[in-house]
Amino acid sequence: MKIKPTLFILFSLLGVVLLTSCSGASTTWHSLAADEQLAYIAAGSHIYAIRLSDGTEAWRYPEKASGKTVFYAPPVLTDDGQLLIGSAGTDHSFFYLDAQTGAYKRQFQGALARWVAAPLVLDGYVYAPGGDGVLYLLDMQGNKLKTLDTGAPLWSQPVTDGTYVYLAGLNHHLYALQPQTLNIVWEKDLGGALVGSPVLSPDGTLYIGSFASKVTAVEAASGKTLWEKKTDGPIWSGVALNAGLVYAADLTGKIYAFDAQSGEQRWNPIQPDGPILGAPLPWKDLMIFTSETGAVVGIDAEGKVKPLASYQGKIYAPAVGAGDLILIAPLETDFLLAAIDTNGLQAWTFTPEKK
Amino acid sequence: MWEALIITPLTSLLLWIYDLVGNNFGVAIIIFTVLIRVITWPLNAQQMKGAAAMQELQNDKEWQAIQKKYKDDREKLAQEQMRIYKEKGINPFGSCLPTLIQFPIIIGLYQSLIRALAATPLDLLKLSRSLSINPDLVNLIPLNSKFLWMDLSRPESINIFGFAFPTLALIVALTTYIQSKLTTPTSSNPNDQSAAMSRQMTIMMPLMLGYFALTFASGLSVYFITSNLLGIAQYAMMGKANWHNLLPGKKQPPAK
Repeated sequence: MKIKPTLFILFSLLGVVLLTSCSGASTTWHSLAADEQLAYIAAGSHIYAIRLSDGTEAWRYPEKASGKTVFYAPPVLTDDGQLLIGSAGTDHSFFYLDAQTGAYKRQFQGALARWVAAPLVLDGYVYAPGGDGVLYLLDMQGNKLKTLDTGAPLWSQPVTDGTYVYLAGLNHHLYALQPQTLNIVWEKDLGGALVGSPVLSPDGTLYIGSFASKVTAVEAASGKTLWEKKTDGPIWSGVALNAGLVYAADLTGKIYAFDAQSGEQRWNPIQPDGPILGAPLPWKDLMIFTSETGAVVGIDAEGKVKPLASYQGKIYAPAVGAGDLILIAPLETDFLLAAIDTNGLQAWTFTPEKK
Repeated sequence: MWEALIITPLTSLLLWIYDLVGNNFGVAIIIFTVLIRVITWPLNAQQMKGAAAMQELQNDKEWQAIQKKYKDDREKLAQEQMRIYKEKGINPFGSCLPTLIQFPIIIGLYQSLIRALAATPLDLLKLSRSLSINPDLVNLIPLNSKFLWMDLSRPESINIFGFAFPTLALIVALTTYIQSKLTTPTSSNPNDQSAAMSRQMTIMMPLMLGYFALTFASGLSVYFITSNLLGIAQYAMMGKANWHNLLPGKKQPPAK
C-alpha cells in the first residue's frame, strides 16, 4: 500500500502547529543584567550586550541562532569577568561566556530541563538552580561538584549572607543550605509556590512572597517565621527592601509596603496599573515597579505614585539599574531594550540588527 | 472565547481531579480522559456508526452500479448518491462531523495538559489565571509530574544499554494502529477510494501520534493511550470491532 507523503506531511504539520501553538513560546520572556559599561539582555535565541553609553550592540551570543538554545534566564556577572547563563531551550546547556567580548569559554551539560533561574556565585562556586528541581554546585570550570534534588522546578536565584545559601523552590519550600556541602540546615513550607527570590536584610531576616498570596518574614539563622501578611493575589515577583520597608506586588497589580520589623502595613495597597511580575527595583528614594500592561512607576515611602514610562508591550522582566539609567525590557515592541532616567526621559532604545 | 470556554474549564477540571486523587497527575489524566470519552460517547458512537454505514455502502451493488454508470457525469452522480443516502437513511457527514466537533476538545485538552504542567514561566502565568475562579487550586502548583517511571512534563524514554528507548511512543503507535485496524471495515470493492483512504490512515495515524508522543510531553501520550484503549473498548461493546483485521494473512469475512 502506498502512503501519500504529502497527505502525511500535511497532517503532521497541522498537528504540530495546532499543538505547539498553544504550548507557550519559550521566547516570550526577557531578562536583564548590567555592569558599569554594558547591559545584557537574554532575549530568545541570543544574549545581547549593549553599550550603556549609547545603546549600541557590543556583541551577541551566539552569532548564529540555534534552534536548541533559548535564553530568558537572567544572566549573572562574576568577579572574574564571566557571564553565566543557562539555556531555556532543549539543549539544557549552562554557559560560561566572556562578559566583555561574548566569547564562549565553556559550558556545563547534564541538567534535565530548561534553565529559568539566575545562578548565585559565592567564593568561586556556582549555585545553579535548575528547572529540573536540582540545585547544581559547579566550579568555575563548569564541573559539577554536588547536587541537591528538591523534586520541583527551581526558578529563582539563591541569595546568601555568607553563612548559608537560601534557596526558594516552586515546591513551596524555602531552604537554608550549607555552602559547598549543600546540606540542608533548615527548610520551611510556605504554603505556595515560590517563584521570586527572597531578599535578605542586614539584620538577618529573609523576606519572600509566595503563590499562597502572602509575604513572609523568616529568621535566616533558624527558619523561624517572624511575621506573615496576606495579599490579595499570588505574588510572582520577588520583594525588595528600602528604608525599613518591605515592598511587594501581586498578580492583581496591587503594591504593598510592610514595616520590615513588625510586618505592619504602612499604607493601603495601591494599584497603579496591571499585574506585576518583575521584582521591585530600589532606586534612589523610589521603588520601581514594572507592570505586565507596560507601565513603569516609582513609589515613594509614603505610597505616592510617580509614573515614569509607559510602553505598548508587556513587561515581565524586572527593571535593572545601571549608573543613572533604568533599563526596561518590554515585549511586543519595536525595540528590545529601553533606557530611561529617573524622570522617565528616554536615553536610548536598542533594536538588534538583522544578521 | 477559546480561553474561557475550553482551556479554563478543562484546566480547572484537570486540577480538581488531580487534587481529588491525591496529587497524582498520571491518574488525573486517565480519569480526565475517561470523563471526556464518556461525555463524547454519543458523538463517538455516531461517528462509528456513520463510518460503518459509509463503508457498507461501498459494497452495495446499486452504489457500485451508479459509480460506473455516471463516472463521466459528476452532477448526476452526486444526485444519485444523495438519493441513495436518503433511501438508506445515511448522513454522509455522520462519520466526520463528530470528529470535527471533537477536534477542538483534543487541542484544548493538550493545551490544558501543557498549561497544568507549567514548564515555562508563561505557562505558569496562564495557569495562575486559569485558576483564578478557584484560588484554592493555586496552592496545588507545581503539579507533581512524576507518574510511574515517567516525568509527564517531558517526552518519555527508558534507558536500555545506553539507548533511550521511547516506550510510550511505541505504545501510542501500537494502540492507535490496533484501534484503526479494528475500526476499519473491509471492502470487497477494489475501486473503493474511501477504503483505500482508510487503509492509508491506518498507517498514518499511528505514525503521526507516535511522532507526537516522541516529541511532546509524555502526559499527552498517557492521554493518547487511554483514549485509544477506551475507543477499542467502545467499539468492542458496540459489536463493531473487526478483530480479523488484526491477524495478518487471516481471511477477512466479507462485509455485511
